[in-house]
Amino acid sequence: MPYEISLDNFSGPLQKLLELIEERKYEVSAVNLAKVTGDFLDHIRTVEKTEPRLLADFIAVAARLILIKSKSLIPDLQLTPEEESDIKDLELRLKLYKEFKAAEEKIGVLWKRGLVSYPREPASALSIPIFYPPAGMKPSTLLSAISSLRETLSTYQNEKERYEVVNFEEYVSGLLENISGRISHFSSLSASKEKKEVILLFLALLHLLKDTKISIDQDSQFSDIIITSK
Amino acid sequence: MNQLESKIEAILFISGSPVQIKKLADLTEASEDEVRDSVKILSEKLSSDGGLYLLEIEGAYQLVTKPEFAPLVQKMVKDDMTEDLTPATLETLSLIAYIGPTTKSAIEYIRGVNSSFTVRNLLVRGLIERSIHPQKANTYLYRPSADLIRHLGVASISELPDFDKFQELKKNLETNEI
Repeated sequence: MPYEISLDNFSGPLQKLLELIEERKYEVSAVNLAKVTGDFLDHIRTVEKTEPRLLADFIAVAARLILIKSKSLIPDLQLTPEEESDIKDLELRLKLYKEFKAAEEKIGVLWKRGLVSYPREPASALSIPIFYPPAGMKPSTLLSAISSLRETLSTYQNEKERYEVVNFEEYVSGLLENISGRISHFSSLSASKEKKEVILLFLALLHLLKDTKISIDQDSQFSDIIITSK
Repeated sequence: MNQLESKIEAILFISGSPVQIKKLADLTEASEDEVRDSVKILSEKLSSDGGLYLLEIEGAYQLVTKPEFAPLVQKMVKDDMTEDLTPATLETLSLIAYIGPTTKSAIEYIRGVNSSFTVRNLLVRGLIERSIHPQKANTYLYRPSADLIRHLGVASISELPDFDKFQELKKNLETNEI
Protein backbone atom coordinates (compact mmCIF):
# COMPACT_ATOMS: atom_id res chain seq x y z
CA MET A 1 0.00 0.00 0.00
CA PRO A 2 1.81 3.13 -1.19
CA TYR A 3 -0.04 5.26 1.36
CA GLU A 4 1.41 3.38 4.35
CA ILE A 5 4.88 3.36 2.90
CA SER A 6 4.86 7.10 2.41
CA LEU A 7 3.53 7.60 5.94
CA ASP A 8 6.44 5.60 7.22
CA ASN A 9 9.08 7.54 5.32
CA PHE A 10 8.27 11.09 6.34
CA SER A 11 10.37 13.32 8.47
CA GLY A 12 8.53 14.54 11.54
CA PRO A 13 8.46 18.13 12.81
CA LEU A 14 11.32 17.71 15.28
CA GLN A 15 13.48 16.01 12.69
CA LYS A 16 12.81 18.86 10.25
CA LEU A 17 13.55 21.45 12.91
CA LEU A 18 16.81 19.72 13.81
CA GLU A 19 17.79 19.56 10.13
CA LEU A 20 17.17 23.29 9.74
CA ILE A 21 19.27 24.07 12.81
CA GLU A 22 22.10 21.71 11.88
CA GLU A 23 22.25 22.97 8.29
CA ARG A 24 23.27 26.30 9.79
CA LYS A 25 25.56 24.66 12.33
CA TYR A 26 23.60 26.26 15.18
CA GLU A 27 23.26 25.03 18.74
CA VAL A 28 19.78 24.09 19.96
CA SER A 29 18.58 27.22 21.76
CA ALA A 30 15.52 29.44 21.81
CA VAL A 31 17.44 32.19 19.97
CA ASN A 32 18.37 29.84 17.15
CA LEU A 33 14.88 28.36 17.02
CA ALA A 34 13.60 31.87 16.32
CA LYS A 35 16.00 32.11 13.38
CA VAL A 36 14.67 29.03 11.61
CA THR A 37 10.97 29.76 12.21
CA GLY A 38 10.45 31.21 8.73
CA ASP A 39 11.93 28.18 6.99
CA PHE A 40 9.90 25.83 9.16
CA LEU A 41 6.69 27.64 8.26
CA ASP A 42 7.62 27.42 4.56
CA HIS A 43 8.12 23.69 4.97
CA ILE A 44 4.61 23.28 6.43
CA ARG A 45 3.19 24.26 3.04
CA THR A 46 4.93 21.21 1.53
CA VAL A 47 3.72 18.98 4.36
CA GLU A 48 0.17 20.15 3.72
CA LYS A 49 0.41 18.80 0.18
CA THR A 50 2.48 15.67 0.68
CA GLU A 51 1.66 14.43 4.22
CA PRO A 52 -1.59 16.07 5.33
CA ARG A 53 -1.91 13.57 8.18
CA LEU A 54 1.20 15.00 9.82
CA LEU A 55 -0.03 18.55 9.55
CA ALA A 56 -1.38 18.70 13.10
CA ASP A 57 1.96 17.60 14.57
CA PHE A 58 3.77 20.22 12.50
CA ILE A 59 1.35 22.97 13.46
CA ALA A 60 1.76 22.16 17.16
CA VAL A 61 5.50 22.77 16.83
CA ALA A 62 4.99 25.79 14.56
CA ALA A 63 2.76 27.44 17.19
CA ARG A 64 5.58 27.30 19.72
CA LEU A 65 8.11 28.53 17.19
CA ILE A 66 5.95 31.55 16.43
CA LEU A 67 5.80 32.26 20.15
CA ILE A 68 9.60 32.09 20.36
CA LYS A 69 9.92 34.29 17.30
CA SER A 70 7.48 36.88 18.71
CA LYS A 71 9.45 36.98 21.93
CA SER A 72 12.68 37.56 20.00
CA LEU A 73 11.13 40.38 17.95
CA ILE A 74 9.32 42.05 20.85
CA PRO A 75 11.65 41.81 23.85
CA ASP A 76 9.05 43.47 26.13
CA LEU A 77 6.49 40.77 25.34
CA GLN A 78 5.15 39.32 28.58
CA LEU A 79 4.65 35.57 28.36
CA THR A 80 2.54 33.56 30.75
CA PRO A 81 4.35 30.92 32.84
CA GLU A 82 2.65 28.30 30.67
CA GLU A 83 4.03 29.83 27.48
CA GLU A 84 7.49 30.08 29.03
CA SER A 85 7.39 26.40 29.91
CA ASP A 86 6.14 25.54 26.40
CA ILE A 87 9.25 27.21 24.97
CA LYS A 88 11.54 25.40 27.41
CA ASP A 89 9.75 22.15 26.59
CA LEU A 90 10.36 22.50 22.86
CA GLU A 91 14.03 23.24 23.47
CA LEU A 92 14.33 20.18 25.73
CA ARG A 93 12.52 17.91 23.29
CA LEU A 94 14.74 18.98 20.45
CA LYS A 95 17.85 18.34 22.52
CA LEU A 96 16.54 14.90 23.51
CA TYR A 97 15.62 14.16 19.92
CA LYS A 98 19.13 15.09 18.82
CA GLU A 99 20.67 12.78 21.44
CA PHE A 100 18.40 9.89 20.48
CA LYS A 101 19.29 10.31 16.80
CA ALA A 102 22.64 8.84 17.83
CA ALA A 103 20.84 5.79 19.29
CA GLU A 104 19.04 5.35 16.00
CA GLU A 105 22.33 5.32 14.09
CA LYS A 106 23.74 2.68 16.41
CA ILE A 107 20.73 0.39 16.06
CA GLY A 108 20.79 0.97 12.29
CA VAL A 109 24.42 -0.17 12.11
CA LEU A 110 23.74 -3.30 14.20
CA TRP A 111 20.68 -4.12 12.11
CA LYS A 112 22.46 -3.73 8.76
CA ARG A 113 25.40 -5.80 9.98
CA GLY A 114 23.06 -8.79 9.84
CA LEU A 115 24.92 -10.73 12.52
CA VAL A 116 21.87 -12.57 13.81
CA SER A 117 21.93 -15.20 16.54
CA TYR A 118 19.66 -18.15 15.85
CA PRO A 119 17.79 -20.24 18.41
CA ARG A 120 16.92 -23.89 18.04
CA GLU A 121 13.41 -24.69 16.92
CA PRO A 122 11.67 -25.93 20.09
CA ALA A 123 11.61 -29.72 20.25
CA SER A 124 8.37 -31.13 18.86
CA ALA A 125 7.65 -32.86 22.17
CA LEU A 126 7.35 -29.39 23.78
CA SER A 127 4.83 -27.96 21.41
CA ILE A 128 1.29 -27.96 22.68
CA PRO A 129 -1.26 -29.54 20.36
CA ILE A 130 -3.81 -26.93 19.38
CA PHE A 131 -6.69 -29.25 18.45
CA TYR A 132 -7.65 -32.62 19.80
CA PRO A 133 -10.94 -34.04 18.58
CA PRO A 134 -12.97 -35.21 21.60
CA ALA A 135 -13.51 -38.93 22.15
CA GLY A 136 -16.45 -40.40 20.26
CA MET A 137 -16.32 -37.80 17.52
CA LYS A 138 -18.01 -39.09 14.34
CA PRO A 139 -18.98 -37.43 11.07
CA SER A 140 -22.59 -37.57 12.26
CA THR A 141 -21.65 -35.44 15.30
CA LEU A 142 -20.47 -32.70 12.97
CA LEU A 143 -23.59 -33.01 10.83
CA SER A 144 -25.94 -32.60 13.76
CA ALA A 145 -23.92 -29.62 15.04
CA ILE A 146 -24.08 -27.80 11.72
CA SER A 147 -27.78 -28.61 11.32
CA SER A 148 -28.63 -27.06 14.67
CA LEU A 149 -26.51 -24.02 13.77
CA ARG A 150 -28.47 -23.63 10.55
CA GLU A 151 -31.73 -23.85 12.43
CA THR A 152 -30.64 -21.18 14.89
CA LEU A 153 -29.51 -18.89 12.10
CA SER A 154 -32.69 -19.33 10.11
CA THR A 155 -34.76 -17.85 12.95
CA TYR A 156 -32.70 -14.69 12.67
CA GLN A 157 -33.03 -14.53 8.92
CA ASN A 158 -36.78 -14.20 9.22
CA GLU A 159 -36.46 -11.07 11.29
CA LYS A 160 -36.44 -8.04 9.05
CA GLU A 161 -34.44 -5.03 10.10
CA ARG A 162 -36.16 -1.71 9.95
CA TYR A 163 -34.10 1.19 8.69
CA GLU A 164 -35.02 4.78 8.69
CA VAL A 165 -32.95 7.14 6.61
CA VAL A 166 -32.82 10.73 7.70
CA ASN A 167 -31.26 13.44 5.61
CA PHE A 168 -29.07 15.13 8.16
CA GLU A 169 -28.69 18.40 6.27
CA GLU A 170 -32.44 18.75 5.93
CA TYR A 171 -32.89 17.90 9.55
CA VAL A 172 -30.33 20.51 10.60
CA SER A 173 -31.85 23.27 8.49
CA GLY A 174 -35.35 22.31 9.69
CA LEU A 175 -34.16 22.47 13.27
CA LEU A 176 -32.49 25.83 12.73
CA GLU A 177 -35.72 27.23 11.28
CA ASN A 178 -37.65 25.91 14.24
CA ILE A 179 -35.39 27.41 16.90
CA SER A 180 -34.20 30.57 15.12
CA GLY A 181 -34.48 33.88 16.86
CA ARG A 182 -35.36 32.47 20.26
CA ILE A 183 -33.99 30.72 23.29
CA SER A 184 -34.75 27.00 23.53
CA HIS A 185 -34.13 24.37 26.15
CA PHE A 186 -32.74 20.99 25.25
CA SER A 187 -35.21 19.36 27.65
CA SER A 188 -38.21 20.76 25.81
CA LEU A 189 -36.75 20.06 22.35
CA SER A 190 -36.07 16.46 23.25
CA ALA A 191 -39.25 15.89 25.27
CA SER A 192 -41.32 12.88 24.20
CA LYS A 193 -38.79 11.88 21.57
CA GLU A 194 -37.32 8.47 20.96
CA LYS A 195 -33.73 7.83 21.97
CA LYS A 196 -32.36 7.85 18.45
CA GLU A 197 -34.15 11.11 17.72
CA VAL A 198 -32.59 12.67 20.79
CA ILE A 199 -29.17 11.56 19.54
CA LEU A 200 -29.91 13.05 16.15
CA LEU A 201 -31.03 16.29 17.77
CA PHE A 202 -27.86 16.44 19.84
CA LEU A 203 -25.66 15.85 16.79
CA ALA A 204 -27.54 18.52 14.86
CA LEU A 205 -27.01 21.00 17.69
CA LEU A 206 -23.28 20.21 17.77
CA HIS A 207 -23.21 20.80 14.05
CA LEU A 208 -24.95 24.16 14.39
CA LEU A 209 -22.59 25.11 17.21
CA LYS A 210 -19.62 24.27 15.03
CA ASP A 211 -21.02 26.49 12.28
CA THR A 212 -21.57 29.20 14.94
CA LYS A 213 -25.25 29.37 14.04
CA ILE A 214 -26.20 28.94 17.70
CA SER A 215 -24.60 29.41 21.08
CA ILE A 216 -24.95 26.96 23.92
CA ASP A 217 -24.94 27.43 27.69
CA GLN A 218 -25.06 24.93 30.48
CA ASP A 219 -24.82 26.17 34.08
CA SER A 220 -23.56 23.00 35.63
CA GLN A 221 -23.01 19.35 34.86
CA PHE A 222 -26.23 17.55 33.82
CA SER A 223 -28.29 20.73 34.02
CA ASP A 224 -30.47 21.75 31.11
CA ILE A 225 -28.74 22.97 27.96
CA ILE A 226 -29.87 26.40 26.83
CA ILE A 227 -29.69 27.06 23.11
CA THR A 228 -29.66 30.59 21.76
CA SER A 229 -30.10 31.00 18.05
CA LYS A 230 -28.73 34.09 16.37
CA MET B 1 31.45 -28.41 35.19
CA ASN B 2 28.97 -28.01 37.97
CA GLN B 3 25.89 -30.15 37.61
CA LEU B 4 23.42 -27.26 37.83
CA GLU B 5 25.06 -25.48 34.90
CA SER B 6 24.81 -28.65 32.85
CA LYS B 7 21.15 -29.06 33.74
CA ILE B 8 20.42 -25.47 32.75
CA GLU B 9 22.28 -25.92 29.48
CA ALA B 10 20.23 -29.04 28.71
CA ILE B 11 16.94 -27.26 29.43
CA LEU B 12 17.86 -24.23 27.33
CA PHE B 13 18.95 -26.48 24.47
CA ILE B 14 15.69 -28.38 24.39
CA SER B 15 13.54 -25.27 24.92
CA GLY B 16 14.76 -23.14 22.02
CA SER B 17 12.79 -20.14 23.30
CA PRO B 18 13.78 -17.91 26.27
CA VAL B 19 13.25 -19.52 29.71
CA GLN B 20 12.66 -17.45 32.88
CA ILE B 21 15.00 -17.80 35.87
CA LYS B 22 12.02 -18.90 37.96
CA LYS B 23 11.15 -21.70 35.53
CA LEU B 24 14.79 -22.85 35.50
CA ALA B 25 14.77 -22.90 39.30
CA ASP B 26 11.51 -24.90 39.39
CA LEU B 27 12.77 -27.47 36.88
CA THR B 28 16.18 -27.95 38.47
CA GLU B 29 14.81 -27.72 42.05
CA ALA B 30 17.43 -25.11 42.88
CA SER B 31 17.00 -21.61 44.30
CA GLU B 32 16.73 -18.65 41.94
CA ASP B 33 20.01 -17.28 43.30
CA GLU B 34 21.80 -20.56 42.60
CA VAL B 35 20.37 -20.55 39.08
CA ARG B 36 21.48 -16.96 38.57
CA ASP B 37 25.04 -17.84 39.60
CA SER B 38 25.13 -20.93 37.40
CA VAL B 39 23.72 -19.07 34.42
CA LYS B 40 26.51 -16.54 34.81
CA ILE B 41 29.17 -19.27 34.81
CA LEU B 42 27.50 -21.06 31.90
CA SER B 43 27.31 -17.83 29.96
CA GLU B 44 31.03 -17.10 30.47
CA LYS B 45 31.96 -20.64 29.54
CA LEU B 46 29.90 -20.54 26.34
CA SER B 47 31.24 -17.11 25.36
CA SER B 48 34.83 -18.28 25.53
CA ASP B 49 34.35 -21.47 23.57
CA GLY B 50 31.99 -23.10 21.06
CA GLY B 51 29.40 -21.92 18.56
CA LEU B 52 26.62 -21.01 21.01
CA TYR B 53 26.07 -18.36 23.65
CA LEU B 54 23.42 -17.17 26.08
CA LEU B 55 21.05 -14.35 25.29
CA GLU B 56 19.41 -12.53 28.20
CA ILE B 57 16.12 -10.66 28.09
CA GLU B 58 14.54 -9.37 31.31
CA GLY B 59 15.59 -12.32 33.42
CA ALA B 60 14.95 -14.97 30.75
CA TYR B 61 17.68 -16.90 28.93
CA GLN B 62 17.90 -18.37 25.48
CA LEU B 63 20.58 -20.53 23.90
CA VAL B 64 21.45 -19.14 20.45
CA THR B 65 24.19 -19.33 17.85
CA LYS B 66 26.96 -16.73 18.12
CA PRO B 67 26.39 -13.72 15.84
CA GLU B 68 29.65 -14.29 13.95
CA PHE B 69 28.22 -17.53 12.57
CA ALA B 70 25.21 -15.76 11.06
CA PRO B 71 26.44 -16.08 7.44
CA LEU B 72 27.02 -19.79 7.97
CA VAL B 73 23.72 -20.45 9.74
CA GLN B 74 21.83 -18.43 7.16
CA LYS B 75 22.84 -21.01 4.56
CA MET B 76 20.59 -23.40 6.47
CA VAL B 77 17.76 -21.33 7.93
CA LYS B 78 15.42 -18.90 6.24
CA ASP B 79 15.07 -15.51 7.88
CA ASP B 80 12.28 -13.17 6.93
CA MET B 81 13.09 -10.59 9.57
CA THR B 82 16.23 -9.07 8.03
CA GLU B 83 14.19 -6.87 5.73
CA ASP B 84 15.20 -3.18 5.83
CA LEU B 85 13.70 -0.80 8.34
CA THR B 86 12.19 2.48 7.20
CA PRO B 87 13.50 5.67 8.86
CA ALA B 88 10.38 5.96 11.03
CA THR B 89 10.48 2.31 12.18
CA LEU B 90 14.20 2.54 12.89
CA GLU B 91 13.70 5.72 14.93
CA THR B 92 10.87 4.20 16.97
CA LEU B 93 12.63 0.86 17.38
CA SER B 94 15.83 2.49 18.66
CA LEU B 95 13.84 4.48 21.23
CA ILE B 96 12.12 1.35 22.51
CA ALA B 97 15.44 -0.54 22.57
CA TYR B 98 17.24 2.14 24.60
CA ILE B 99 14.51 3.47 26.88
CA GLY B 100 12.04 0.57 27.01
CA PRO B 101 9.90 -0.46 28.79
CA THR B 102 8.29 2.79 27.77
CA THR B 103 4.92 4.22 26.80
CA LYS B 104 3.68 5.38 23.43
CA SER B 105 3.29 8.89 24.83
CA ALA B 106 6.99 9.01 25.78
CA ILE B 107 7.90 7.83 22.26
CA GLU B 108 5.66 10.46 20.74
CA TYR B 109 7.03 13.13 23.06
CA ILE B 110 10.55 12.56 21.74
CA ARG B 111 9.60 11.95 18.12
CA GLY B 112 7.06 14.77 17.94
CA VAL B 113 4.74 12.69 15.73
CA ASN B 114 1.92 10.25 16.20
CA SER B 115 3.58 6.83 16.33
CA SER B 116 0.61 4.44 16.50
CA PHE B 117 1.16 3.07 13.02
CA THR B 118 4.90 2.56 13.46
CA VAL B 119 4.51 0.91 16.88
CA ARG B 120 1.86 -1.45 15.51
CA ASN B 121 4.13 -2.31 12.60
CA LEU B 122 6.98 -3.19 15.00
CA LEU B 123 4.63 -5.31 17.13
CA VAL B 124 3.44 -7.25 14.09
CA ARG B 125 7.03 -7.89 13.05
CA GLY B 126 7.78 -9.23 16.53
CA LEU B 127 10.59 -6.76 17.15
CA ILE B 128 8.89 -5.32 20.22
CA GLU B 129 6.45 -6.63 22.81
CA ARG B 130 3.83 -4.89 24.88
CA SER B 131 2.28 -5.40 28.29
CA ILE B 132 -0.22 -3.48 30.38
CA HIS B 133 1.32 -0.73 32.50
CA PRO B 134 1.27 -1.94 36.13
CA GLN B 135 0.13 1.46 37.42
CA LYS B 136 -2.05 2.62 34.54
CA ALA B 137 -4.40 -0.02 33.20
CA ASN B 138 -5.23 2.02 30.09
CA THR B 139 -1.60 2.28 28.99
CA TYR B 140 0.74 -0.20 27.34
CA LEU B 141 4.45 -0.54 28.00
CA TYR B 142 6.58 -1.36 24.97
CA ARG B 143 9.84 -3.24 25.28
CA PRO B 144 12.42 -4.87 23.00
CA SER B 145 11.74 -8.55 22.21
CA ALA B 146 14.21 -11.43 22.42
CA ASP B 147 13.99 -11.63 18.63
CA LEU B 148 15.17 -8.02 18.35
CA ILE B 149 18.17 -8.71 20.57
CA ARG B 150 19.02 -11.77 18.48
CA HIS B 151 18.80 -9.72 15.33
CA LEU B 152 21.07 -7.02 16.63
CA GLY B 153 23.67 -9.66 17.49
CA VAL B 154 24.09 -8.66 21.15
CA ALA B 155 23.81 -10.94 24.19
CA SER B 156 21.53 -8.58 26.14
CA ILE B 157 19.98 -5.16 25.77
CA SER B 158 22.59 -3.62 28.08
CA GLU B 159 25.27 -4.56 25.54
CA LEU B 160 23.94 -2.00 23.08
CA PRO B 161 26.53 0.71 22.36
CA ASP B 162 26.41 3.65 24.83
CA PHE B 163 23.57 1.95 26.71
CA ASP B 164 24.43 3.67 30.03
CA LYS B 165 24.52 7.09 28.43
CA PHE B 166 21.00 6.63 27.10
CA GLN B 167 19.82 5.35 30.47
CA GLU B 168 20.88 8.72 31.86
CA LEU B 169 18.82 10.46 29.18
CA LYS B 170 15.91 8.23 30.08
CA LYS B 171 16.11 9.42 33.70
CA ASN B 172 16.12 12.96 32.35
CA LEU B 173 12.97 12.13 30.45
CA GLU B 174 11.26 10.63 33.50
CA THR B 175 12.01 13.65 35.69
CA ASN B 176 10.07 15.67 33.16
CA GLU B 177 7.07 13.52 34.02
CA ILE B 178 5.84 12.30 30.71
